[in-house]
Amino acid sequence: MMTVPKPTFDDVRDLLLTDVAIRIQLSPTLHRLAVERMDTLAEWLDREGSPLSGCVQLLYPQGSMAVNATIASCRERDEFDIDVIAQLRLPRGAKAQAVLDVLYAAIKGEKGSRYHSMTKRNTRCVTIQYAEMHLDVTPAELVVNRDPRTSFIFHHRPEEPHLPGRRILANPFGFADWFNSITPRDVAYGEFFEKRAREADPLLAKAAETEEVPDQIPAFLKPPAVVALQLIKRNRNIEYENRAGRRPPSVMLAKLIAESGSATGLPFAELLYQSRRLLKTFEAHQRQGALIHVINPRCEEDVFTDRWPADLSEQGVYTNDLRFFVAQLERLEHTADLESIAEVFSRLFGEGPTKAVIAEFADRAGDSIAKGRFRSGPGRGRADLAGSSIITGSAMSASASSRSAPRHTFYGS
Amino acid sequence: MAPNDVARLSAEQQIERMQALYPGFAVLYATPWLILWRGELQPLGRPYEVQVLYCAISMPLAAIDRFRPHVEIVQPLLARRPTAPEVPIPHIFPNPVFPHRPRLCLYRDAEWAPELYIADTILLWTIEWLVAYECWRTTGLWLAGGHGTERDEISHRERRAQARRG
Repeated sequence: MMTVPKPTFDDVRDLLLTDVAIRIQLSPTLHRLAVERMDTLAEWLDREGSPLSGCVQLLYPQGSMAVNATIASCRERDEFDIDVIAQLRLPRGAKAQAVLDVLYAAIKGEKGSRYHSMTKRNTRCVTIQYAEMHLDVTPAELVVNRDPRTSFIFHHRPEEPHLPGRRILANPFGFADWFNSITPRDVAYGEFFEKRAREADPLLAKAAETEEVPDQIPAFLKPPAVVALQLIKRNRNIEYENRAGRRPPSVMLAKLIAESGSATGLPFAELLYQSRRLLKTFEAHQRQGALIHVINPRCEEDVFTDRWPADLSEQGVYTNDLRFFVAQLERLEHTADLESIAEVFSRLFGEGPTKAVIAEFADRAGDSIAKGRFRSGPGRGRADLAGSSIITGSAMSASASSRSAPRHTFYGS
Repeated sequence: MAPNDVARLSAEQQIERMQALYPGFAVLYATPWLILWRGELQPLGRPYEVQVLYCAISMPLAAIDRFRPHVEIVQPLLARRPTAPEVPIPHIFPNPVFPHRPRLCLYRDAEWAPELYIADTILLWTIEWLVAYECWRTTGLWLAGGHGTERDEISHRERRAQARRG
């Protein structure tokens, strides 16, 4: 029987994009910690004496945590937003202000208790601030006779206590379910990504010495489209870091990327494809003088673009960002030396993660050459990155046609 | 190339082996005493046009040593790092004929001999040199070892340690 060789992902752009995505995302260790913190919070809300004791039906991730696309919220600090829905049993007709206030009180607890000094009430959620992440806990009330977990969430500005606030129909669970079911899986790339993410997380290896760590973490078996989403969000975060006002919502980007389908199975081509599609969509709206309108496919009342864009000017700013993003990637589309890749990635995704992944690549490549392990193929001499021990990953092995060089010493000054 | 030396590979043998492994390398000029190849290598994401000259006679004015393959990068031209223009490109030596196309220093004298195929040695070393060069252009560090580098010292230490272990 003929065996189909496993893809090796040895295009340097794919490798470095993957590594940048791994550096900006929630690591496997922090992912485990976030899940543990959600479990702890569920117990805390239901504790004896809690104003919500017996009222918490379910606590589940929403947003980027539910589609495995969590990334650091800004360039300077590795801080992650973890969005959680607290599905509550509430008295009939509960008001937005009351619901948000009671959740705030239940989490904050008494002076000296675990969350007391870490809790903040916001317009639609209560935030628990940790050193490396924050949990945004959104209270929700289940709506019967709708798609599973369609819920009301609550909107009330704490700085305007005299205004009544409102209930908003939403279905973040349904959206995550739709996103995860519609985004094509690429088994080979998913395994490659997961393995590299684990290898890049020294704390996970340390944890494995003393506790049971699963052989594979399903949340990290990412399709290229999710990696593209993470990188596009990262670029948005960088572009909007010093801009006032709202930024394009992550959930809108997730919807637009998921419905475009995964075209390629490889991250660079996928990122270019997805960003071109986004640009095309936004340019068409700008030309028509229309604001983009994106809804939750599992709940048409759940409008993802209800707070952004406010006007064509806001939309135009992001359209220009996308135009620049695509133009930069196109510089690397046909030929790309390491220097150009570093320049483009630094500009689009930040200097910190780019420098780190380039330095690691250069070190591994140099080590491989210096130790006589470097392998290249015939023809155009393409580097066999897996066979040269420059990259590791699932079932990565040397290409049958590549070979290493006899020992030699670069001479000269 | 040298009928009196049976160990030395002939021009035909060198050309044949190059054709088999790197068919994109065209022979621009060939006589029993000189071969000039030009072709493209793309170890990472960028192609490089590479010229290899192998000559049975020395040409001092052109800094050509007999029976020594000479490798030049034709396109894109090698360049110093824009952020550190005072730092020379590592592991090259001057080319008096085309000064903007320095030749690559790929090996110590004893590491290559005319009994070896250029396609099995010089081409592989050129590919490694190009990878190291791209990394150097990007990071400012030549991490692939070589004479006078930290990694060369390490590999010497390793070799000595291996020799001691027997």
